[in-house]
Amino acid sequence: MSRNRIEFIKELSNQLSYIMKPNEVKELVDYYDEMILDLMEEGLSEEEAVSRLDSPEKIKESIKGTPLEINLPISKKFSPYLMALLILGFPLWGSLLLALALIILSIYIVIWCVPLTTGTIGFAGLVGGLVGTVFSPLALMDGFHIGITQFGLGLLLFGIGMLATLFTVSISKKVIVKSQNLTNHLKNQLLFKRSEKR
Amino acid sequence: MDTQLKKGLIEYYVLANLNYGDSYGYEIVRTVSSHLPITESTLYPILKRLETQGKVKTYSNEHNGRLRKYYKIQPNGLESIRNFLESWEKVEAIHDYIKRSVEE
Repeated sequence: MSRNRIEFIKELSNQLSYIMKPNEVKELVDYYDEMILDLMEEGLSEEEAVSRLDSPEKIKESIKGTPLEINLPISKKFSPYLMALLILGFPLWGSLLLALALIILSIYIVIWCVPLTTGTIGFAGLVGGLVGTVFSPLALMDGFHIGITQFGLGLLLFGIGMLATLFTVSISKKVIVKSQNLTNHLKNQLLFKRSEKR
Repeated sequence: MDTQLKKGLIEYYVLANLNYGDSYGYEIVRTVSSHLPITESTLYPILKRLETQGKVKTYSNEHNGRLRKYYKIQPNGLESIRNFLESWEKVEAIHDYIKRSVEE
């Protein structure tokens, strides 16, 4: 399969964009582009020059294996100016961070609202229904029809409570999975953005 | 040649090549390949590493209406060559030891 120069560069940038930072990709692409142009100056055709080089897939693999030096001086030690800037800027980034944390918290609360509501209905139904049913004989003293009505309503309430509890149990499992997914997603996004590179 | 040995030598070969004069990617590959066959993909991480270690510096020059990246050796790189040459006595001693093991 012969590619031309532009196709090669496009394919290479595409492959590398998953594992490198944009400026590193640009540097590497420039390096290979220069190679192609130099090979063409030697008298090779565009396709020949491209085929002389490794394929973008192979280049990606070879880059993956070699640890590219990441410039660490910034993360290794904070300069006093940066520290001062961070402290002075706290009212700005601090409040933004707080807002973000609260938004995330509210997402969790909204998600957990559903099982909380059904759980409450379930609990109220079970307890209320049970008490209503058990004490319905006492209501008989106010009249037979009242006692029967309370007994029936108590059973109905107990049934609703059971259904709501079952629903809560099943939905809780899903919500737990969803919460875990959300937490993992946030963790990956915020903390391990570069983990894919390894 | 053993790949590990080759890997170790290429770095000094490139530095020596640049000590003869500034050069660019394609020319470096060609020069190095006359003794140690390498590909562009092998050279890139080496150049990159030398650059981050401050052993070489890069600059761009115009060539045929395009920019070409040139590599220039730094004092740091020259020192690295000297260290390599100084350790050669030890390498020779190891070589002799290995050689004797086969001869006897």
